[in-house]
Amino acid sequence: MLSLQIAGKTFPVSKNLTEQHLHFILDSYNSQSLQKMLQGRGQKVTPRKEANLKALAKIFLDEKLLRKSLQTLPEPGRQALSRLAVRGEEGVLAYPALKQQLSARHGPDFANSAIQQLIGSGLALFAFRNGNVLSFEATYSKHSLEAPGALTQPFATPQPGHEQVVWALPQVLQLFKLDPQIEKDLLPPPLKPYNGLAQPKPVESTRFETVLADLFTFTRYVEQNRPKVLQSGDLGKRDFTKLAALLSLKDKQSPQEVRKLDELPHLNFLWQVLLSAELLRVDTKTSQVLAGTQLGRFFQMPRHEQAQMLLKVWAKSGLEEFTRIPSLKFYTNNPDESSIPTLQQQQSGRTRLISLLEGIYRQQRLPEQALSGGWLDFSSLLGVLKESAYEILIRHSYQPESSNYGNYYAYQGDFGRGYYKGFISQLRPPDKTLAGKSYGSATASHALSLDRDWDWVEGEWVALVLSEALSWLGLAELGLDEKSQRPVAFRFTPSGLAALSGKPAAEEEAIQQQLAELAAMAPEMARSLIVQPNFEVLVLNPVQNLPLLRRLEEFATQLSLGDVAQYRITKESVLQGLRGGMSVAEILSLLRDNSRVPVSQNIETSLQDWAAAFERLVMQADTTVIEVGDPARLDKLLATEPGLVLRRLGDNFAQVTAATADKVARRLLTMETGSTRTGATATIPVINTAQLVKGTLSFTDAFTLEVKNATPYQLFRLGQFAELESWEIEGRHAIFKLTAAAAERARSLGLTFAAISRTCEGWLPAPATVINAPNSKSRFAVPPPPPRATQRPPVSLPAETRLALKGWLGEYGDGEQTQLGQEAVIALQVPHSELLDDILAVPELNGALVGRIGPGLALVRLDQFEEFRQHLEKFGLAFGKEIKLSSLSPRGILTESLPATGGLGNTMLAVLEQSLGGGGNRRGTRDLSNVDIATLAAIMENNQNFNEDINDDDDGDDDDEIIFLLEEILNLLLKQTQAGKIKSDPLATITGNRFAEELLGRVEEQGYQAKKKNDLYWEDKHEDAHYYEELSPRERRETLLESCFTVMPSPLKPQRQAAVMLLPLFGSSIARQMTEYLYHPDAAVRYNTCLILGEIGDRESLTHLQPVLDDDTATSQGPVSSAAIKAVGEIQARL
Amino acid sequence: MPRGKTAGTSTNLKKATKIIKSAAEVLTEANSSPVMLEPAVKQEEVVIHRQLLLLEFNSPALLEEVLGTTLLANFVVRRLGKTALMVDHQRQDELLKLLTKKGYEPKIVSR
Repeated sequence: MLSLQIAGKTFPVSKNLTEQHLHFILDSYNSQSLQKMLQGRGQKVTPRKEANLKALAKIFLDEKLLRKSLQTLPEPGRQALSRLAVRGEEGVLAYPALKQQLSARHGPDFANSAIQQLIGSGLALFAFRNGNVLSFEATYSKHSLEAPGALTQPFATPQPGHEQVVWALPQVLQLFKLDPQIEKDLLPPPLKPYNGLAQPKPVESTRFETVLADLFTFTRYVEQNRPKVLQSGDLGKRDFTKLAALLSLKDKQSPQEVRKLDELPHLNFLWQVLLSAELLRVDTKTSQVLAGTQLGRFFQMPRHEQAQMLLKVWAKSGLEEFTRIPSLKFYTNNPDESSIPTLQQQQSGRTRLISLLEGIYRQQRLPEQALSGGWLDFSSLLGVLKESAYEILIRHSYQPESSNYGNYYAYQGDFGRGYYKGFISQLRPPDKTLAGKSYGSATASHALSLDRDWDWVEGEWVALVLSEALSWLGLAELGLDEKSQRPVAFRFTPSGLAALSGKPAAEEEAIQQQLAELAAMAPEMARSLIVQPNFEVLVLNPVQNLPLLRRLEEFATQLSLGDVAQYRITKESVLQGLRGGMSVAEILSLLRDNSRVPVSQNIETSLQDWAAAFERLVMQADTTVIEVGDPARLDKLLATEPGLVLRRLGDNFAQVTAATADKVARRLLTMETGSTRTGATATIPVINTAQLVKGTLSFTDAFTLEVKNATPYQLFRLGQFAELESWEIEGRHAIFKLTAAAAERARSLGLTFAAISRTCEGWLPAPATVINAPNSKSRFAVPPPPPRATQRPPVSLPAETRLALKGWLGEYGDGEQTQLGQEAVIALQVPHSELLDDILAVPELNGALVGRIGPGLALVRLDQFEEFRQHLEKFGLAFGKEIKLSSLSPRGILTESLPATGGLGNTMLAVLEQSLGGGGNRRGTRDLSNVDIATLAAIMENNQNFNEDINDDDDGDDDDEIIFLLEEILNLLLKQTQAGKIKSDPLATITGNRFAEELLGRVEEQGYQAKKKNDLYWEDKHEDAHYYEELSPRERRETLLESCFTVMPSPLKPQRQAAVMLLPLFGSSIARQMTEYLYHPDAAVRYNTCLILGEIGDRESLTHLQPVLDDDTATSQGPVSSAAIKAVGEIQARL
Repeated sequence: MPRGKTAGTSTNLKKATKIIKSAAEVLTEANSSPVMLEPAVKQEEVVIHRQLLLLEFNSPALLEEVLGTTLLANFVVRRLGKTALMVDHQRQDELLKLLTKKGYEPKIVSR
């Protein structure tokens, strides 16, 4: 029900308008228009507007005068009023729709005259419609009744969001008598059969069955290969090239010649349709393309339903065809600054087109020829669409200018008010009257008029849709004129008609009937399979049997797919089926039920054998097992309540479901046997095998490992490389010894020192790196941490243990390689390295030296020392008292001899200090002994790799690179938050283009190379990689999430900091993924996870947090349990 | 005179005299865990073990056979029964490859 808004008041359209109301409404017309209206009512006109306005308002609804106006209304005006009466909603029609309806039937000049006559005689009014409200206030200009053919619109400019309409007043409609002839004319125009002389040439002709076969092949490829999509969300080149080769219908361009999938229109069309139909889906976590929820159902649907479904999913798909119209030349692809329809407009246009065609079929307005595959006149289709859905794709109402670019765009396809923006037609003959107009670029004569050029825009879109989408779906065809190559006709395929009607096609029904008759007479002949004794299976009419084909695919390999599909059953293919969950009984029953010939015995036997071999071993992950100390309890339980356990695995073990484990355990504890009494059921110990608890292992000496509260898994891991010394079941306390024999066993198992070290370190108590908890009130109130925190000392095995284990495990080499050398020598120390340089230059003295081991240290042969000493003393170089190598080295010797002034020297010194446990002065030599200096020199001289590692600031360490931008994102976010720039959703801000630009600018300022700066996620570094700035906000969001997860266990504190602060921005949708980190071996990760879950956790998170409440592993911020308790409290408060 | 090696060479003899070990022996040799074959709980206790990786055989003989002919023992955390083993969940893929390569591909069952 429409209502009117006049002078700020709203009332129903049926209410009688007062003179004041009319005065207000009529004031929106210019003076000339008011004069025309008065004349139209046979009244006198004065030169004063106000007087005319008053006079018109007074007589506007006078019944006598209204009747008179109606009687004298010329034919065009009557046509316009008839349309408002019949097709309007309470007498209201959109101005462009009314104009186009008239224009389509009688021509544009007739349409202009009609509206001018109608308004000019005061029988209808211009109005602005917003929803159900009509308003009349002309904000920007007055309505004017211009002469026909004027370039400007006659009505005043509406406010944004308002639509221009023409409203016939209820009093007028009551008095108006509809002419029977006009009423007949108003019936929808018919679709006409094509009557051209020459037979149209189809653009492309595809059978629906071929489309189905292609969809089947596409989905089969995906199921078998599980390809991954790129960051853009499209398939990579390797996959689309393979797919293109497999499909029946090919794109004109070779896949080898293109870079992106959307350059292959047909393949891209199938891909989008498959996604939209949920026959395929993309796993957001792994980026893999997987079977969609509708895949199984789709191939079992009747043909007409399949066709209907494809038609509907095409309509709502993300395809944007408009910019692919070949006859248009586009100056932009941006709908915001042009008339190009947005995706939503295109989706709604497609939906409208389908519903109109369905309506035509339903109302039996389709010519007889169309039902038997005959061609229909294309222009008659455009006529129908113009009259029924003129604004099917693009709004023809005048829109106020939203672009600020002004004249610049006048040269880029903006031809001003009344013209399509952003494109021109390359086919439409130029309009010479437009050349040299104010928007006078060279292309102005090609500008497309919103009033007159519907056929060149929307019409071309309809042609494109018929020649591509509907043709590729096998539902319709477009026919071209042989000479002009312009669309002249179209027709529906039987499947197209079935889709419009919602009923099976006659052809399909006939096939079904034939099959039913055949099945009644000779059932085996209606079956589609021929299973041959040589393990080959033939499928007759494969396209008719796609559901069967899909089942067959699970355990047989396709050899060919044509009129007959050929498959081969092999051991591997059958195993594949069994791995997928099929049973051999299912396979055999499928073959028997569908085969025309009996399945031969050899096939049955082979299948049984393969299955038996496969099912000999069963592996089951994530199982729950109950262990009892007294087997009699299990005996008793199985005797009394056998249904409680899944099965008994051994004397002391039974498998149960995770949900019933607690109940079964309590039940067992209540059972009394000959040797066991009823136990307390308050607490049932639960051992989570996958959970590593730090602090349960300790070294009592270098070779003795003590483990308390040991889990069987822990005992197994230790038992691999250590000998059991003692075991007490009470407290599950075990002592293991590291021995050469045990290490030898570990070596035979393939264990390395690194693996053993990791195992031990996982359980050793250690201070963990934990970042500060974000302030609960304001996450960003805390200033950002320093860019690189100092690393905590890593947990490591005692030095002696490391040496012994490495030796036993042969990590230093085997046999002779490990033999150490020895020789007694005398150490020579000189106060300055220059002296030693000079000594070494004297051949007689050099011969006595074994070698130089440092800047001021050399080794002298024992038997030649005396001669050496005397030789030197002759030169006045007397030896003082004996030195100790461990004493401090003379000052200056280091700086003179080693390149310690640069970054390398400092780093070396730092490393040396760390490895020696030293500290304090980094640069001075006071703390360095002779041995230290000798070691440093030896490292520098002999270890080339070590030098390179230290020297390279950017050593390609992927861990640093993966999250290259993460810390920068956090820093910038904090900075902007503090500056008050972030007011809404921070996640939307940081994944937005402006933020990304600023971020990359900051990175660039720091002097990083362009290639690196753009890579947020290192894994993306392949030939199709997308740089950060090229990603869409959604892709950035996904990449950011991925990166945050990656750095959760990172050894670098700033990265963990970034993860803890950024992950809560993603909200509760990631809570489930976060809970996985509660089982991480590093207590710091578990602690941090609790912090995040406290902010975003949900009800399910509470379940996962329960076991962590007892996790007392220490971190630098306190035990993990303290964070878990806090998190539980926060979640509960929120719930 | 017939050519080639005669039967009963030292290699064949070694093969023939190879001692066939029981499953228990294979397991205890591969690992010193005290609970490899024994319960890990006291007589009166009942314990729930969660998130185990279970490997079951259709006969005790097959378990013995696979333990004797493959490196499965290195993956066994505990023996739960005559036909059931708890195996290293962290090396599931490795174990799967090993067994498949040796012709004992297990059927993977989800919960």
